[in-house]
Order: sequence, then C-alpha cells, then structure tokens
Amino acid sequence: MIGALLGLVLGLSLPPSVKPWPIGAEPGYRLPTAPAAVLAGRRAGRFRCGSGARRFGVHVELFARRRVVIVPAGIGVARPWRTSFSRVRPEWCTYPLRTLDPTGVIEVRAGVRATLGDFFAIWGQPLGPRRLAGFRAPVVAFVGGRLWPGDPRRIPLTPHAQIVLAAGGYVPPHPRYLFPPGL
Amino acid sequence: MPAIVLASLALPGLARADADPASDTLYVGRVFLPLSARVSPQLARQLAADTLAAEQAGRPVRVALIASRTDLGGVPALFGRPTAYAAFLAAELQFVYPGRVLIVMPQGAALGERGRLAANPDVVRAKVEPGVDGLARTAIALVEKLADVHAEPSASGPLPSTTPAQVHVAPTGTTSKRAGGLPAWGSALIAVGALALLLVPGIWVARRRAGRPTEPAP
Repeated sequence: MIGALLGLVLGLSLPPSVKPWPIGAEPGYRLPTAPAAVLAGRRAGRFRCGSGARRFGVHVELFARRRVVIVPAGIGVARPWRTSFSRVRPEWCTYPLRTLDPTGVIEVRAGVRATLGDFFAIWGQPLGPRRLAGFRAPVVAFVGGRLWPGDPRRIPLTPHAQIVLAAGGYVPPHPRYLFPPGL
Repeated sequence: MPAIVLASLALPGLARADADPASDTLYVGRVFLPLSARVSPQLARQLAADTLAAEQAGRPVRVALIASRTDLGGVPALFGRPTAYAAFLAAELQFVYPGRVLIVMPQGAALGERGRLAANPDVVRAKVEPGVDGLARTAIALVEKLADVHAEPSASGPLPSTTPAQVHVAPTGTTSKRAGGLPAWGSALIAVGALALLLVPGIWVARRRAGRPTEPAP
C-alpha cells in the first residue's frame, strides 16, 4: 500500500509509460539525406527514381547510446526540391522509399517489397547487426514493440510497421505510432 | 547484448522511445504545424515570421501546434496535457536546442525551456482559440509577447493555483531540479507528507490500544 501511495504521489505528473529521450547533439546524430547518385536521380540498387503512385507509411526510430538519431527529410528524393516548415516538397523524381519530413516516417510506394536494409541503402548509411550509421555497437531491433531476433537489414517494410533500432544501449520501444492522414 | 535482450523481455509493456513528430522537426526548425489538420497559409507564414523575428532579436521561441492525438505520433497519451508535453519536448530537445519551446493544444498552452517546464504568466493564462487556425492565432499572440522584452509586466493578478510548474518530466541523464517547477525534493516532501498522513492515525490507534488497561484475571 505504501508503495502504491508513493507511486501515486510521484507519478501524478505523467503517464508512467511516457519518458523523453534526448536528441543527440554530436555530428554523428545529424546525418546527410542521400548519396550523390540518389540526389542526381540515378538508379540505386534495384530502385529507380520515379513519380506518382500511392504510398503507405512505416515509422522508424533510431537510437545510439540512448540518444535519438534523427532520420532526415529528403531521403530518396532527387534534387531539386523545396522545403516548407521542415517538410521537403519534391520538384522532380523520388524513389520507392522516401522521407519528406524528419519525423521518421518512411513513405513506401504501394506494391513495392522492400526491407529496412533497402531504405538504408538509398539513404547511403550502413546498417548491420553491429552497425547503425556511424555507430559501431550491437544493434537491437524491435518491430511493433517486439524484439526482432535477426539481422535488422531484413526487417520488412509493411504498412504501418513501427520499427525501433537501438545501438549501444537499450531503449524501451513504442509498439505503435499514429500515422498522419493519407499514409 | 544479452542484458539488453533480457531487459527488453522484462519490460514489454513500456512505451518510451522518441516518436513525437514535433521534436524531430523542432531540433532545427522553428515551427511544427499539425499533421492532422491544415493551418491557413497566411497564419503559418505569420507564425514563421514571428519566430524568426524573435530569434533574430536574441529571444528565440520554437512552437509546436498540436491539434489532435495524431500529431503526437507514438505518445498520444500526452494529448490534452500541454504542460506535460512541454516538459517532455523540452527534455528531448535539451542538447540541441535549450531555448524556449511553446506548446499550444486545444486544451491550453505551456512553455518548456532547458529540458524543463517553465512557468510564464502569459502562457499559463492564455485562452486557446477554437480550431486549428485558433491554435496558430494563439501561438502568434504568445510568441509576440514572449519575444518582446519591453512589454509591460502582466498585472492581472496572481497565477492560477494549477500552474504548469506542478507537472514534471525527469529528462534522461539530467538533474531533476527545474527552473520554476517542482524540484525532486519537493516531490519527495509530498510523498513523505502523504505517508505521514497515512501512518499517524494508525500509530495513534495502536498506541491507544496498547495503553488501554488489561482486564484483571478472574
């Protein structure tokens, strides 16, 4: 009872399941959007730069040493583009996997079968069981709040998947994400 | 690695990671507009211009307009709790932007700063106008007040009894004392007081029972 009372008193401020994680400040936490070939609209692996088509959303969160790594806007978007309120407005072609804002929402072209490894390839950042972008540490992956036991590159990008990758420290994952309308 | 896996299995129900779109946007941007509804372009431009002017004047304010649960992505539980979300967002941004961050939700407005909640009379008393454009108009008015250091001090009486300072989020890896908020020792004091309220009557009853004369043996 005493424990319950203490918990009640100390926990009045926030739901117990919510805790903030700071965004990393060092350069390794702010990554470029794409390699030169993607910015130029050239073929990237099996993906071509195109336009149109419906898309669905996948949300990915990245952590290194228990700090947030931002997934930038403009991954999979060829230049030129415009930005408005941190959102990228493509003016030419985009790839089947792209980000238009820095919220971690990957827009996947409907009908495309792709994995998280494909997304990192378009982004131009390394990913593996012991590598997350510029960070070298064991990578733990969660999909829908559940531990992903295999190689994080093989995680399929399915509609409304919620993916968390953590390198060098455990971060309790969100099981779900509320996607904006249209995705 | 095994420890991490073990921890993940032990805490399956917690939802803590970073998933609110506003923090990802405000780490470099000055304004987060709702994803769930469209702010009129004129108001959006006005808000952008005001926050730019505030920054150029050396009094930066970043703004998040939250119109619905969707705008909070993975932390929808914070919708309707502007003070809690202001503290949450300030804690997320603390290493990349320690300045002021203004939250406007239909339920109210709140201000965070340096990873903590900040009490400001204008923000606490703000009445949020209805609709998504109302959020923007409220934010514009507050940014203009917050950015103006020459403004007359507010003289409309004391703060309401429920100030944002009563809500606290302990940011990861930081001390828990906050400017203008309830520090950790305050929470502990409340806890001790509550325990005392609970225990004192019990002790009193127990002592009375112990002090009662026993009946003599026949």
